[in-house]
Amino acid sequence: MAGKDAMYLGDDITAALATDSSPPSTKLSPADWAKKNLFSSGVNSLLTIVVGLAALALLWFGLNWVISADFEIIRANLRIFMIGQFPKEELWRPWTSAYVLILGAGLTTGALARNSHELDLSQEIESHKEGWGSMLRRFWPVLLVSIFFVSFARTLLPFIGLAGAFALIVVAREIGWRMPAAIRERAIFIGVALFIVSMLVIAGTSRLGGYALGLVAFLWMMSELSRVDSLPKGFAGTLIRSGIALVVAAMVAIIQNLIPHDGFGWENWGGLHISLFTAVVGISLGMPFGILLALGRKSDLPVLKTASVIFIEFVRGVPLISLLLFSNLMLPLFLPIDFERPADLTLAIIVITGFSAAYIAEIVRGGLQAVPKGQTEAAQASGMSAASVQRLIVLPQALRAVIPAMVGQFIALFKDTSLLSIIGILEFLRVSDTSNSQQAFVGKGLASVTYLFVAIGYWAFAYTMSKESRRLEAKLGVGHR
Amino acid sequence: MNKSSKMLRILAMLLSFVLVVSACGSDGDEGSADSGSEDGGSDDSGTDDGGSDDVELTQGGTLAAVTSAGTLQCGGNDTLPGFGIVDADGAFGGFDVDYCSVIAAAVLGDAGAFEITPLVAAQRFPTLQSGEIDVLIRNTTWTASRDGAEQANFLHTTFYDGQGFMVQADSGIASLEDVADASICVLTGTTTLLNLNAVLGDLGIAFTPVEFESNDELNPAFQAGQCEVWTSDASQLAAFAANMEIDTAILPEIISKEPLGPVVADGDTEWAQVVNWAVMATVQAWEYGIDSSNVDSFLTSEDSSILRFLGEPITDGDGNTAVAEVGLGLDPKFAYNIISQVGNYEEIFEKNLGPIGLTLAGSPNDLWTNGGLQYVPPFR
Repeated sequence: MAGKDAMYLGDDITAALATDSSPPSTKLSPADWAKKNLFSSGVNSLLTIVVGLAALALLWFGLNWVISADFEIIRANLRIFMIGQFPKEELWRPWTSAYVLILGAGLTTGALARNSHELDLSQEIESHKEGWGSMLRRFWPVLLVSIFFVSFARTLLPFIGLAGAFALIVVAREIGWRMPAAIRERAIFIGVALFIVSMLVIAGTSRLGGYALGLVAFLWMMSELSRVDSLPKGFAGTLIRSGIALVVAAMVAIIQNLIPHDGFGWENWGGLHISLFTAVVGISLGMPFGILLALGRKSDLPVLKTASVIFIEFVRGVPLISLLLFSNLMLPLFLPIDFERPADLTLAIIVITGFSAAYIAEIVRGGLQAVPKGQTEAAQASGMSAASVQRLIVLPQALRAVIPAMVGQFIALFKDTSLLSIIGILEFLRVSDTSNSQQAFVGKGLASVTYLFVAIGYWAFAYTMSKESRRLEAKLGVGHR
Repeated sequence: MNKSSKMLRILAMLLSFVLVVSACGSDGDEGSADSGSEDGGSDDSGTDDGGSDDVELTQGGTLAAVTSAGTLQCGGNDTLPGFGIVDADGAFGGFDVDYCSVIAAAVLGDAGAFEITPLVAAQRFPTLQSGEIDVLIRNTTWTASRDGAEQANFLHTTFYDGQGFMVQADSGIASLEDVADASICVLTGTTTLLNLNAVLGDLGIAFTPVEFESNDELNPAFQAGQCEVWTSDASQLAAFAANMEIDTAILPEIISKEPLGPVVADGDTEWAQVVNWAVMATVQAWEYGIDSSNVDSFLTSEDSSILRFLGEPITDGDGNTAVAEVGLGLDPKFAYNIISQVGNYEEIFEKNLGPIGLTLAGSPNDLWTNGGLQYVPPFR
């Protein structure tokens, strides 16, 4: 190879390549660096000194404030900040729920990481198991902030609980990585099922829980049955598969309803828990709806197209606050008189899901337009069905292109959950106001303390989402290919 | 050609959409008219009990609905010191919350059988009208427009508040006249600000308003001397003063009337009366000197009016012994339930408002026999 190349290149270039190919070192000594970047001219030196002094003063006042501030208000209200007005004697429920959730998250992410690893290996791409150091770099904001939160606890139990949670995620991820391939392929379903179970630990078994578990069971069965070759192909096969899956789903839902397990429904939830829960549900339900709306808007079917446009433009044209208030105050006036009023949070989640779906739809539409028409035409020319063209060719490219905008929307949605307070839900930010109204703390000017605490909580989750999105972009090579 | 046919298609689509919508609309209208006449018919024939039940429910029936639900739904506040807060245990507490408890004790016999929905100010009346809450007890001032336009029904005033002025103790301001040319801290967009402008304007007192969005910002500004005077509801001034490190004084002048009390929706007189008498029972008990610790000793009282009040059997002139039935739809022992489980007015006041620095004696909230405004009709 090298010899052949040399024939095409001039001798002088070959010689240059042979001697030293690396660029000249750009590494500067600290003094040189400072001279180049901070004191390159008289004006710059002056600016450096002024800004530096201001930064030092700010740091000094900040540190002084942190040291002298009275954090008793956080200590007294830590439980309210975390889970709101959830009954004190039922604390085992949130803890158990968190452990089930962590177990599911660990198993699923471990299995998915292994799947991706195996896929890379099969395509002869270099791939390594991700080390714990890398995991720490990815999730340090959340880890650090959970330690920060627990540091305000007055008893030992939360410390033990947090240590146990860290241990569990390590073990669960390791188990997920080592599970047999057959189980790993189903990791998503395991994760979602455990998420729902973790919610049922708190809320108890209910009809809604039955629907949720039934839906997971249905999708899971459909996925299982699609691998069975003995079933007939085509429409008849789909019918048979749906039938069997429906029966299984109904059985799961009925069994769930038969398990007697009382719990504490949404009206008892609050704090950071309800903020995170609403955000997770809003994002994970809003995303599929949003993609469907985007496809609907691009569709050639006029009814579908008009309906999508009306929904998207209506929802995007109205502030989230007014939608929340409408669902809370107006909707009950239109319901039949003997119709049991849905819980406030149920209505709020429907609104937030619809709201995020409309925004995601527009983001996805932007991505769809960025996919060259040639891609669709080539796929159609090779005989793919319309659904397959979208699913396998267009959507993957479209979604890849809009990751930053999409994650931006997720972060905005997470922060928008603070609007739940206006319909009387005691979410994370609202606890700051309620704790400052308590007799022991009123009029002491502690709002700055509680707001800072809340801000750190929001920041940790939002920044982790942002970091993960950049990691995903890098992994999918957005902007590089 | 192609373009115009597309336009036509869109037009047709819009038309059909309008048709569908209007069809739905008229369906709804017919539906409600039908159900109305059916209900009338069922009353005549007397065969359909369900229909007549529905009619009763739409005309009122909050008392029956609360009784069958077993829980009272109250609209409240969770950020007003002394009146409605969430304590560190996560429980609702405060003066207004205790009055919700009073109504639960009267209607359901259980002072704990209530749920609070925290509401922001703008949400209060729509929530009440939607039927989501049975009663609103959230420091709501009784005014004519609210009684009228908001279709709210204000009941016995539980707390007489008013707009007052607080100054630093060494400010040299002793009365409203001294306020001249001072800067006054006030929350922006409130009736407090409107009152301030109106009253001081009428008196010809010049001042500089310093407006803030929330008390959390106003409070440090006042303590730092950014303004000489802080005006707000007197109860709130007291609550903030109680935790301040500086010495403060409250001026004697009160420039507005802010009667606060429970509110129910218009159109259900039975329910309004029930709530009203439950609330007034706490004042009557105070007048009788009955509180939660001594209520049982009054069960054997010689005074027949006390026995009647507590729902104990009394003997009339003919020698018949019976429990008096006042026909409110409440358990005859409702007053006993309230006092034994929650307490009388004085107890509720001292428990919730004492700690935030409010005094009952000599205030407008004192009993009428002591020169205050708390006066209730007789329980007979």
